[in-house]
Amino acid sequence: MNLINGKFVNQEECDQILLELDSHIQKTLSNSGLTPGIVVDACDKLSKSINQQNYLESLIEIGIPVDLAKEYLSEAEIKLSRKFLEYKLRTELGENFNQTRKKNPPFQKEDVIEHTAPLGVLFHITAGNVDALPAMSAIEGLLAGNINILKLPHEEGGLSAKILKELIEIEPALAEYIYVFDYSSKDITAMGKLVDLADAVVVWGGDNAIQSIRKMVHPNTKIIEWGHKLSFAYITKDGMTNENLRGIARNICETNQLLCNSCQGIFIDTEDMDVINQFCERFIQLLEDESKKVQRELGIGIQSQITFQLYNNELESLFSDFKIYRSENCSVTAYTDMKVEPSIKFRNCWVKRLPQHKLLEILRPHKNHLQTVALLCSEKEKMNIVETLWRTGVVRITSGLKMSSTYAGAAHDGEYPLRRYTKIVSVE
Amino acid sequence: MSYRRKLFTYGKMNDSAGTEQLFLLAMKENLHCHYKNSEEYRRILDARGFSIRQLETIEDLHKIPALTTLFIKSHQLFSVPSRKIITKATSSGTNGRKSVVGLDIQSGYYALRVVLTSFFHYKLFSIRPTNYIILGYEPHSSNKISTAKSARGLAMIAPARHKEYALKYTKNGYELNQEGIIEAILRYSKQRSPVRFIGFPSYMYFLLKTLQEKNIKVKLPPKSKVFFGGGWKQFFAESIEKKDLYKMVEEILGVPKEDCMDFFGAVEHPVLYCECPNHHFHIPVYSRVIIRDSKTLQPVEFGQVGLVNLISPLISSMPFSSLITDDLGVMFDGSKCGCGITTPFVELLGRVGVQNLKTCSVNAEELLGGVSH
Ligand SMILES: [Zn+2]
Repeated sequence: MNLINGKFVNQEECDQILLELDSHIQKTLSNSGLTPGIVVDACDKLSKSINQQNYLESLIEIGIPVDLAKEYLSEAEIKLSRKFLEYKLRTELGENFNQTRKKNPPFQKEDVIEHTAPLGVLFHITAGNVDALPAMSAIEGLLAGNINILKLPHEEGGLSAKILKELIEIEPALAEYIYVFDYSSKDITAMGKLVDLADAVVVWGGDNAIQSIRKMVHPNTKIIEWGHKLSFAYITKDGMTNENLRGIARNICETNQLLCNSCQGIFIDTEDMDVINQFCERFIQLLEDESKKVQRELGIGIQSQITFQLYNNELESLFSDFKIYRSENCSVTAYTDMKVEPSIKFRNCWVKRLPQHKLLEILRPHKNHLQTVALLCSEKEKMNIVETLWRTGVVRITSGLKMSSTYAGAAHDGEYPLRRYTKIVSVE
Repeated sequence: MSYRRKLFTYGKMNDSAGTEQLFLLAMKENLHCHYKNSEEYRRILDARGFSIRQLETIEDLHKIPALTTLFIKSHQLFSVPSRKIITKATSSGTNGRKSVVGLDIQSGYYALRVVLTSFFHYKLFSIRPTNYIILGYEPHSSNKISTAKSARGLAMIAPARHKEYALKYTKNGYELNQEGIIEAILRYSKQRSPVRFIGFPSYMYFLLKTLQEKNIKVKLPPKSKVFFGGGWKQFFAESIEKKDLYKMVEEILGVPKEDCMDFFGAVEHPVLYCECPNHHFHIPVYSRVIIRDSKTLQPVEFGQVGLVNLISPLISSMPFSSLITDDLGVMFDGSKCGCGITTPFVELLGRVGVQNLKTCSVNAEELLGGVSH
């Protein structure tokens, strides 16, 4: 789906526009610019209409289960609201983000005027990982005052284009700040042209996607990377309450372990394999209970892949020292190593030992791939472990239940997106 | 005479009903041999509480603990000493992992018997000199891929008058020989000798598309044939149906669909499955197929999709009597086909999983890439 100037256009028109895109963009840049207020107003209006039936239908159409779709919509309602966005702007860009700031630095006679300015043109290359992520990425770009060019992931289903079109209908001034192109990432000519036009390329995706963008982008264009991450739980003896564990189980079931902040596995503060095996016996039951509460129909392709993988692991376990605990809808595997690794997903998690004194040694090599840790421990232990975890590269520590939820003004992978999409300019 | 020998020299390749008992006995014989000679296999059968005595009827075959195509990539299981291995083949593996299959004399001989019987059955042998278009690699000492070998094998069943290869070996390595192929097709179409095409469906599809773009249509001589050597899996993304491809073959090359034929087989399971005149893969007497439920792995009914489990006592050198593949498939009642063969037929639907899993969680390769060892 191509969205240009607030209208859906076909591929031919799109190719035509691509030829003239440079002059379109220059025209926009020569205007007075986009204030965050306009964007916040439009988003707030959108948030009030978003919980309506037509959105629910389009979400269901692209294969999202009803209960999850409803959850997405109420989440979107919050994330697009004035209250949320204004708080986000203030947190990320500072209280006076929208004004020029007069400064009088030491060792300098004259005053300096500083201002937070957009980067200019952002080219968002989004992955199909989280539904409606491309639209959210573009909205962040708009809040920072940028022109946003989006390349949609192949499997996105048009949801983002629909949201952005609606936003333009609410506020037509946004039309020239939003371009959605349907070019394949294999279309080197088109991709190259879009990359060249941008001040910064915002890339969401795995290491492969990021690597190929790095190769493509001239040093004269900035690259803003939002890579794939891995999250897990860390539990001490004191933190092992049923309520805490249920939170982790709930996260595993609700996200099917697909998100960068989903729990892939559980580390326990012990050196003793007996503790691990006892834990598995207990946790598999909790996980099965939560599984039954959060029903998610898997396609036959995925279901059979998981079944194949689990059966294969059962065979492998006869020649290795790991042990698989299986239940109807989930599994837990006790390993003797301490490797950080992704799970096979869809409610199949690993459990491993990791005594506190080894946290840094084991986790640190994975620095920029680590994201969220659900930390279950006593209040007394907490600060110590938190400080060590931060040094390993982990950026967010929370409870099991909250792993995949966020709050207004939260950093993403340890950074404020709006800061990355703006620059500080000064005049003396 | 051993039961396996009896089974693999059995002439009526579609008489599954008449060979049920023989198949079961051959399986037991094969399992006994693997159980005795492969320590790993014995461990698996024991751990899963299986005893060969549990095989009372042909309905019990699903009880044999199956290995997986993934498992045999990480374990080399042999039931004979390595000096008895006469030939080794490597399967084209996904993610760079390959399984190596070694056959002893007996297994190699049975595999050959199965192929020859199938070719005879479908009357593929011909003494007429034939022109070949091989949509694959020109043989050269630098390539040892088993598909190249099997393409050459197919080319041997009728004497070659001329052969043209899609990938020619030049001093710069392999290069696409599109011009040569098109020229050969035009030249062959004016000759009297039949033409045989051999190659992956995707290559055929690209060739047909090219001919279509260049507005080339020919009528190849009668008795020309088009053979596909499997490889429909990679083809899934192109979402072209087999029947559409056959239609293109008929329109562009003038070869009717009765003369198009697809095969599949695997080095781990060297039973050859050939298309019947109605383009179905009936299961020959040499093997059985079980479709297993995508969640419980229990056998499912005809018409239901599940994981494909291939069963055959063909190999005595490695314990591959029952293998679960990572393919999805569906099986149908043979009598519904109408070609006269009554054994069930199986349709392969592609690999398990989805190509673009929606996830932003880091994967294993990325994680390994992030750690310096
Ligand atoms: Zn048939």
